[in-house]
Amino acid sequence: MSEKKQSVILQTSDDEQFTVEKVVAERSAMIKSMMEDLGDQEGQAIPLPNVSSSVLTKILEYCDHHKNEPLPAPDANDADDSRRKTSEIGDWDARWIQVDQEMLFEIILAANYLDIKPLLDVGCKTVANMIKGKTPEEIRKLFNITNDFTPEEEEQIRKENEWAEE
Amino acid sequence: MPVTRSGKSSTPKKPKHLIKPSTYVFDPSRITLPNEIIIRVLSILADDRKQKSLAKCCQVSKQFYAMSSPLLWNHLRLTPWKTDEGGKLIEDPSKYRCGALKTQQKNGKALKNDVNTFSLYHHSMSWCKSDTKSTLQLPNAQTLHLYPKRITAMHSDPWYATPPCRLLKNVQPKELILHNVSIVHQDLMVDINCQKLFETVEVLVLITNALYSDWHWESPKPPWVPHLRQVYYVFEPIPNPYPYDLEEEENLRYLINDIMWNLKHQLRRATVTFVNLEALEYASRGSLAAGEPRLKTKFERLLFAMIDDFPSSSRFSTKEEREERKRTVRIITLQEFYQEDGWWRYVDRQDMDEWVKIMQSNTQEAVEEREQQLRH
Repeated sequence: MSEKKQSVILQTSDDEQFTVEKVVAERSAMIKSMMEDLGDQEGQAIPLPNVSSSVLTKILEYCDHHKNEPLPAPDANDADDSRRKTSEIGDWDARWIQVDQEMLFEIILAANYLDIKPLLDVGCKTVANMIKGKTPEEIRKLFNITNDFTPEEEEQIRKENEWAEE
Repeated sequence: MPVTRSGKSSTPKKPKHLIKPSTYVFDPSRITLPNEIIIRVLSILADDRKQKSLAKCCQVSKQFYAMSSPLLWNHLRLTPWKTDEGGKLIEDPSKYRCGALKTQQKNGKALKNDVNTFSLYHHSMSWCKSDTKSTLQLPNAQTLHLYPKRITAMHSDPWYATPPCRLLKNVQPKELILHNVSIVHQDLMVDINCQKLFETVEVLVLITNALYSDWHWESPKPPWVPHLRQVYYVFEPIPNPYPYDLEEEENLRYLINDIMWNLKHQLRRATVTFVNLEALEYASRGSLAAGEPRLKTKFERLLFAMIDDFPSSSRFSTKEEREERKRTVRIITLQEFYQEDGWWRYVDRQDMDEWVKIMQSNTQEAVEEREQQLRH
């Protein structure tokens, strides 16, 4: 097989082109199905209008590290599947995802768009860990949300959920 | 300022506990996550037995409330306790009002319709207000986890003063999980004192700690569970302060005596699964033997011999009936259970992770020990 056949070209939103090993690019179910659609049209770049080059660089690092792992079944029951697994993030993944919050959210959005389920999982678990121990106001800052409750309404909700306090 | 007839100002009273007004305002230059992703994040939080973070998310905004509240109330955990640094249960002053939860509260009905799983810890009657007429309606609670105190009932009050618990009166679960069960104290099923509770139960899970310290000869009849299909005995791996010798066949025989009684009577139509019998070994010696599943073989042999000995006057008078009883007994390891569907409805995920770790590390140690012995 030629060298060309083993790779695919990805084009980011800022018009950069990346030549990527097929086995790496295939981590993205979205790219995988696009490659199948393109078939023999080798050399044609796959446009990724929602992903910037800095985010793609980071994500390709992840895909390269995990390229030898089995791909999740496309029709796997999402909720059940993730429930079976432990809630912990793998060591390498945890180190890899130590980025600023802006980048973390970009990675999650891109993982969702590119359909890379395990990466989306790692991202969401990281955000879930960030929520732990935070006050409602700190959570608002984290997610960029304006409070639309009156203090009385908020107090009412705090009371109805009192059983869940530690 | 208008004045009321009593002469007081009609300005509404300020609530005592006011939450600090929020100052953060949405920043359009910052990236935001779409709701489908936020729901994914919140669902991860919902898997944690500590629900505080999810409760905080409910207070964030109306939209966050709409997403987090159903996830939070999906598993209602009521307890007057918290654990201190040493892992001991102590009373939690912030929870003293929680036992008074009523369906009639504002929002109460909608919230309580969300409850799919209900966990209740042992408590006093003054905490759950069982001396009042109000009840708690949880029409959609399919799964009920009970954490009774060892031997005694859900109420810590003396047994003669204990009416059925107000919080359990109107719960009709399909799956009932009893925690902290000592295998020789099956009678706690009676002490719960809510016969109605068992009418709908199809799956009964007994999380037993395999502790075997005191002699308890009486084995009162457990309540009748008419629709019981499946029973799980899940053995929790914890070291026993009173080790016993499992090599002594008599000990093992005594240990499964009560189980046998139940197999013969109340559980006779149900499939019975023993999960992680190896924990008995861990409890008896503080370690695990590597290699062939000797305990499983021995347990099975004793159990089947006892089934063969069922008197002809019992429900199992013919050989076929006794063989059928044997066929519906399963003995599986924790790993095998872990691979099965739905265990997370019966066992807490964090507990499961911990147990798997204990079993693996102990087996590993035992394997290394054995290899060393072989080398010498």
